[in-house]
Amino acid sequence: MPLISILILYCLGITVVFLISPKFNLLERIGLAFPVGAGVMSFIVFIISELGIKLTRSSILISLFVVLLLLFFFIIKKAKSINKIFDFSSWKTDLIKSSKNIQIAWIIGLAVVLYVLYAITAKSLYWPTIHYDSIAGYDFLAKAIAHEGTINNSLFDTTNKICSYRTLYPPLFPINFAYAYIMGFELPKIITALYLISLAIIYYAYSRKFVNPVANIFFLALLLITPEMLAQSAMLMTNVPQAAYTLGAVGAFFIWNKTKEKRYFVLSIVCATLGVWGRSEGIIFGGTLGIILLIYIFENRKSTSTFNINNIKKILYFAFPLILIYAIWEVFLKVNHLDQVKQPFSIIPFYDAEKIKYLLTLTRKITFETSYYGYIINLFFIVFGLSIILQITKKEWDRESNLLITYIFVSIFFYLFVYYQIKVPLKTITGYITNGYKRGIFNIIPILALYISNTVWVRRFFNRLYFPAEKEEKKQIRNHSQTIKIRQTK
Amino acid sequence: MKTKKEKKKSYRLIKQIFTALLLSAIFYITVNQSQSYTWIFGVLKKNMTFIKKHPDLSYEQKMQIKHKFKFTFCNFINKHTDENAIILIPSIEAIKNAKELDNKKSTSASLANKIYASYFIYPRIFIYPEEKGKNPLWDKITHVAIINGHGYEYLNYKVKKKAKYQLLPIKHQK
Repeated sequence: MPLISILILYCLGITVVFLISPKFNLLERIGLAFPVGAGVMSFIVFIISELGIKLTRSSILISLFVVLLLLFFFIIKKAKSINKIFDFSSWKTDLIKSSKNIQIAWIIGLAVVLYVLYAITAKSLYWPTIHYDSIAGYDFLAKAIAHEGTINNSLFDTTNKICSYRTLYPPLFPINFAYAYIMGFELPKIITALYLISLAIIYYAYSRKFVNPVANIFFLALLLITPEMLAQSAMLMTNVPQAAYTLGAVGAFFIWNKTKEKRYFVLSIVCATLGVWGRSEGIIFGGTLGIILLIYIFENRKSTSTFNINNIKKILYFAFPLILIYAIWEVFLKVNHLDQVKQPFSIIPFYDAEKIKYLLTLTRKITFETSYYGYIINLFFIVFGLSIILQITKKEWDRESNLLITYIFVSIFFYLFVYYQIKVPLKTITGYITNGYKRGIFNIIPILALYISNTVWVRRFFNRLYFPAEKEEKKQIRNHSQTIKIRQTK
Repeated sequence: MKTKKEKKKSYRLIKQIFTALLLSAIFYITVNQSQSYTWIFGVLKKNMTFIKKHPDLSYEQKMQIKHKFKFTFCNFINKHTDENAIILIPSIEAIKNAKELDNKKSTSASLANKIYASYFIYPRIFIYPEEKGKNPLWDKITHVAIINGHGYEYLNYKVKKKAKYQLLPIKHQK
């Protein structure tokens, strides 16, 4: 049963992704299937629990099957023919083409990636929960949900205080962990392991659209060995899974920005919404995309009206699900009188020079700490600096990368701003930064890897190291670079 | 004589080998330059060796390795009480002073922290002395956890054989 329950999540995810568009390729579907399936499942479970239905193996499975059937019905209606659903010809061509261009460097890179994923999964599945945040939060809540069969369980009993603010984060991950317990797993660590694997596949699937396979696998390996991220991946923590949603949303958004394929815009909304349902900071990393959307609209404005009906629709389509899902959880907390347990966050901005100085010093120290993030942040700043200099001197504007860099800096600014707005003594904030902020940065790490590998100069360097068997492939890459160059000069 | 096509193929292979060596060298140097990378690979390797050596450890054994006496004591409570038991922790100071409970590493990851401690005995409930008069469950306490020799004062009967760690019903059972 445990393994079948995981397969059900994959089926649910693949179906939702297929419903967004049947055009997603094999890697995208496999990578996105678990995060999307697990996210959708958590929402269904939340709803049935709020409807007063006890969460048991059968009640959850019946609900999931009903939803799956409904989704399948919509897919058949959309595809008009069952044959279209099972048409794998494009995947086959893609696979044959990719296998012809396999290189030695790529094989070595893949071996590193597979070893890291295998070792961390083995470690994760072997050891029980040890991290404080999980014991006092996510895993504890999951145990309670599974045991009592309801989201609103005895942990939320305000007379017997065993509820911390970790328990009050949006419920996606605790429900995921509870699902594992209910379905018969001894420990829910399979969930976090699958999120890490999905993160790796999503990264590769997105990045392969713009960089060659050698560069792609090199940066994926560099991303996966980020020390703190790798260490936390084995600990039933929710930051790395959250990073999978952020990557899913941000990556899809920038693919949409480059290719104008609508399906990526929808995918970005789905991932960003699930990110908000995952952790409170999801609203920052998802919400910042809203700002980038505004910049995008402003950049692509027609002479007559910036906010025409199409653009307003885009903004609403993006903002509405994020705000709705955020509001659902906030209402749940309010109704159950749990909002008092939350951190003392001030909505009204204030000015405290000492706090700003302290926060900046501390975050700078943590951000550049190689024992946490390896060399990826240092590399990012080097590439960023070089890119700016070269863009100015050569007057070649790397528009897409610049938009990505705007996202990175704006989201970090907002993320820091949230910590600044928490009204606690400086001594307490130190703990928040050295633990919470440090792990929150995981959301950005895959985006940094995407940025570095996608910068024109880095891409050109790696194109010199790529020797595909097919001449066409090389030509295609060259043409792609030239198109970008022409667009940038324009 | 090699044909033009074959020459191209071998030239491509040489270039590929060069690329593989170059990128592997960059990767290897990067990983070896930073202690944190070597540490993480060291930990992974160590873990893999341990897992291969002890593939059949039970959940309880693994919990004991990681949480030490904290788990042993809580597991004892779990095995000797019903799921609805309410257990009194006699004193936070007693926990803090107990060498066996390994409180040096972290003050929060300790049995002195109600939220953290409750994880190990859920669905049973721990009650702490400072909750007297505040928590309605105080009147429903079923057991007292004797920690580091403390807690006997809460019992309404005398215990003949006193131990450093024990779990006793709050009311004398005949």
